[in-house]
Amino acid sequence: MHNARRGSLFQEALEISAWLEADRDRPFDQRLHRDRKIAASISDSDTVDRVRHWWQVVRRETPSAAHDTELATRLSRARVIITFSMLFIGALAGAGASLAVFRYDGTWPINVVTAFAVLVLLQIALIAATLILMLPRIPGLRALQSVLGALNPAAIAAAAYRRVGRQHDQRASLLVLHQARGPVASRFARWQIVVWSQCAAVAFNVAALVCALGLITFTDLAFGWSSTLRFDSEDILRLTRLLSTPWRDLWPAAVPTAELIEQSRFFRLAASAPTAIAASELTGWWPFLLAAVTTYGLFPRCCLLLLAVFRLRAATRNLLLDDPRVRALLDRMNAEEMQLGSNVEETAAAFPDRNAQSAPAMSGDAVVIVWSGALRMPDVAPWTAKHLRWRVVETLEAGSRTIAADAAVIDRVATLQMNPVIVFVRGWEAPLLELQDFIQALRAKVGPQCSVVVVPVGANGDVASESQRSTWSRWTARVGDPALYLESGA
Amino acid sequence: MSTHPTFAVVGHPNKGKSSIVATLAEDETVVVSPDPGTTRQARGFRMQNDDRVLYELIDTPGFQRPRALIEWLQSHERSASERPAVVREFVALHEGDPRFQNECELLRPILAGAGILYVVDGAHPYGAEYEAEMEILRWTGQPRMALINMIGPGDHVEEWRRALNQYFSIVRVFDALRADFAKRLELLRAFRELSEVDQLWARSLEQAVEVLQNDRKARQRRAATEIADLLIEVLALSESAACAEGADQAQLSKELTERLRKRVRQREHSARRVVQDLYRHRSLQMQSSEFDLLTEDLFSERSFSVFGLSNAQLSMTGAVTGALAGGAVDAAVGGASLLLGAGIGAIVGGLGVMFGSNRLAKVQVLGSPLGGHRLIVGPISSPNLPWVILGRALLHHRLVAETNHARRESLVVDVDAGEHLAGTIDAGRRRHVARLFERIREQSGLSTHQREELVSHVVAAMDELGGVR
Repeated sequence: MHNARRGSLFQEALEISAWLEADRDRPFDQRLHRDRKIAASISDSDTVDRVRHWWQVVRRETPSAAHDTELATRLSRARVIITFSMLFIGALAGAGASLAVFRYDGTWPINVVTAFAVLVLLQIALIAATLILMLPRIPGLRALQSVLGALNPAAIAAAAYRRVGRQHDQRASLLVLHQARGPVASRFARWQIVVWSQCAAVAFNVAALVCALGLITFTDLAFGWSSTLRFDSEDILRLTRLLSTPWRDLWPAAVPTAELIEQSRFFRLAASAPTAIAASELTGWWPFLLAAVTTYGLFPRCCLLLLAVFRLRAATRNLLLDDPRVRALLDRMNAEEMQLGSNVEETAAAFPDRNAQSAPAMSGDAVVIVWSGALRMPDVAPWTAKHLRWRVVETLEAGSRTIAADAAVIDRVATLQMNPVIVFVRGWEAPLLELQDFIQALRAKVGPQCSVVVVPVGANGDVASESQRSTWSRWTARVGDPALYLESGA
Repeated sequence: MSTHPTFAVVGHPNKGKSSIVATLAEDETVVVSPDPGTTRQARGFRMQNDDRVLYELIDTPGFQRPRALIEWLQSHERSASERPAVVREFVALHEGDPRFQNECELLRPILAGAGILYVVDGAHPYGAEYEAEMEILRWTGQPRMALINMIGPGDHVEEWRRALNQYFSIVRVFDALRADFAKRLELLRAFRELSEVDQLWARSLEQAVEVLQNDRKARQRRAATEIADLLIEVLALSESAACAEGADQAQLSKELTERLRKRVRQREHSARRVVQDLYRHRSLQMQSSEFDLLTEDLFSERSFSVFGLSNAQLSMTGAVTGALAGGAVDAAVGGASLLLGAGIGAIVGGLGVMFGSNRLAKVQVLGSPLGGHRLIVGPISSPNLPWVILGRALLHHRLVAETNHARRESLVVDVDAGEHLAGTIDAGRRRHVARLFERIREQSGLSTHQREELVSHVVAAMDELGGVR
C-alpha cells in the first residue's frame, strides 16, 4: 500500500515531476478533466499548496512508480544526511579549533589575540565571503563568486549529492536538480550550498563555545594578550570597547577593563609568564571571548542560516512551480474545459473480409436490370457487349420507382427464363437492404440455378473503381447467395 | 424539444455522416468505413463546456429501405399537418422490426426534437432515389440543413444544390475530410441559422463557437509551450561519463555525441506526441510524402537545408545578435567607443556562427571536487540545430492542427515547405529567438519570464506560418 504521508516539499517536488512525466502518456483531455475536478475541490489559494493538495489526491488514486518514489526518497535522504554530516563536520572543526585555541599547559597564558583571530576575525572574513556568494550573479563579481563557490566546503557536499543522483543515469536527468531548469535550478543549488555551509558554521560556533565553556568550567585557564605589533594598552582598550558595544549593557563583565588589558600583556621573550598580577585576574578575558564568538560568529551564522533556509524554501517552491510539467498542470487546473465526444460506446459492425465470386464462364444472352439508373438505357447493350461479352435480350429498370413496379420487373424476368440475369448498380452508391430485398425476391422467382450477376458501374459510365468494386464485392459475398456473382467488366 | 441544440446527422449510407461527426466532435475513434451498415445505432456526440452541453450531434445509421418507408407514410397520410404524427406512428409500430431498424434508429432523435443535417455526396451525380429520403425528412417537420460532402474528385454540387434547395432551407458544402478549423466554425454558425427559431439554441451555438475559438487558442499556446520546452531542454542537454586516466577520449566523445543525438531525437518525438494529443490526434501516423519531410532524420543534411536557416541567414542572425551585445558595451561607455563594440560584436557573432556550424556540441573534460574527471559533451552548440528543430516543430504543428479527425489514412505532408523553413520567420523575431537560444546555452535553461517570451515568439511564428485560425 502506498504511503500517502506528506513528504518534504523537496521530495514532493521530485515525486510530482516524475509522476507528471509518466502522466504525459494519458490523453490530454482526460488529464484536463481530472485536474479540473480536483482543482474544484481545493480551497487553498496558495499555488504551491494547491499543487501539493492536488498531489495528495492523485497519489491516492495512482501512486508513483516505486522507482520514482525510491529515488526521490533517496535524494531527499541524501540531502538530510549531507545536512547532518555538515553539522557534524562543523561541530568537529569547532571543537577542534576551540581545544587548540584554548590549550593551556600552565606556562604561557592563552593569547587572546590568537583566540580572537581564529574564532572571530576568520569567521568575519568567511561571513563576508558567504555574503558575496549570496548575492545574485552580477557581472564583475561572477568570477569571484565562482572561486569562492569552489572553495566552499559545501561544494564538495554538492558534488557528492550529484554523484548520488547520477547512480541512476536515466532518471537522474529528470530528478537531479532538474536539468534544463537553468536559473531556477542554479538558484536552488546556490541556496542549498549556503544552507549546508551555514549548518556547518553554526555547528562550528556552538561546538567551539561549548568546548570553551567546558574548559573554562572544568579546568583553570589563564588569558593574556600579546602581539608583535606595537599596540599600546590604550589602543586595545579602545578596540575592545568598540567590539564590546553590542553586549556592553547586557553583560558588563564581558567588557575588558583598562587594568586587565594593562596587566595581562605579556611577551614570550620575557623569562617567564606574567606573574605581576594574581593568577585569578588572568581569567578575566574569557567572558569577552565568549561574547565575541557569540556575537560575531554564532549570531550572524544563525541569521544567515535562517535567511538561507527561508530562501531555500522559496527556491524549492520555485523549483516546483517553474517545472514545465507543473506549469502545465496549473494551466489544466485553471483552464476552461471543453469536452467533445460520446458517452455511448461505439457499436460499429465489423464485417468479414470476404469477396464475391466471379460469374462462371458463360456466353450468350442475358437479361439486364438497371438498378436506380446506373446506366442510360441506350448504353446498356453496348456496355454489356464491350465489358461482359453478353448479348442483351431485354433491359428493365428497377429501384427508382415504386416497390410494386420492382415486383413487376421481377415477374417479367421470371417469365423470360434467361440465365444469367445482370443487375447494373451504381458503383459509387452503397448497396442498400432495398437492393438485397429485390435480389432475394428475384431469386425466389428465378430459382436457385439462375446466375444473378451484380455489375457496379462507374459514375460516367466507366467501369467501377477498385475501391467501389471492393465495397460491392464484400457486400455481394455477405448476401450469402451461392449463385450471386460480381462482375466489374474491368 | 431538447434543451440543448441537437442535430441528427442522417442520409444515405456511406456519404460521410460519420466523417462529419468525427470532424465536428474531434473524435478519431468514430468508425469510418466504406462498408455500408457499419453504423448500426444512433450515437450522440456532445460538446460540453464545464459540464454544460452546448450542442449535440447524433450519428445515425443510413437509410436502407426509404422507398418502403415513404410508401407506408403516404398510405397512412391524413393531412399535411399530421405528417409528423404519422412518422411517429411508423416508428412506434416498427420498433423492434429488423427490417426498419435503421429507419427507426435515425428517426427517433428527430422525433425527439433534433434538427436534421442531411448528408449527400457532391462528388457524385444526384439520383432520384434520394427523393424518398428527403421526402421522409420533410414529413418530420423538423428544421433541416443539407450538407454536401465531397467524397472524391468529381463536382456535381450545382446539380445537388438544385435538388436539395427544394427540400432544405439551408444547403452548405462541407468537405469532411479536408475541412479546417475555420470551416468547422462556419458550419456551426450555419447551425445557428437553422436554430434561429429557438433563441436558446442560437445562444448555445454562439457560445459553442466562442468556446471552440478559445479552446483552439489555448491548445495552440500549449503546443507552443511544448515546442519551447523542447528547444530549452535540447539546448541544455549534455551527456557525460567518467573519463579514466589514459582512456580514449575521442572514442568516448563519439559515443557520448551519439547518445546526445538519440536523446534529442527522443525528445522531439515526445514533443510531437504531446502536440498531437493536444489536438486529439493520438492515433495519427505520420507518413512521408514524396519528400519524407517530417520523417527525415533530424540530423540529416536534408533536414538542415529544409528546416533550418541558410548560411547567410545564420550569419546575419549571429551578426545582429553579436552587434546587440557589442552595442550594450558601447552604451555602457556612453558611446565613447564610437560603436566599435557593435562592429566587433557583429563580426565575431557572424564569424562564430559560420565556423561553429559543423560542430554539434561542446566537448570538455572537467575535474570533480571528489576526484576523477568527467568527459562532458554538451550543451549543443550547433547554431542551426535549434532552428531545424523549430522549423520541424512548426510544420508538424501546422499539419496536426489542420488535419481533421475524419481522416483515417496517415498524415501526408503535402505542403510546400520549400527550403529553410525557419527562415520564413520574421527577421526581427528571429533575432529575439536567437538571443533566447544564447541565453539557454549560457544559463542551461531559461527563467520563467524568458520562457514565456520564447513561447510567445513560437505562437507568433505559428501564426506567421499559418495553420491555426
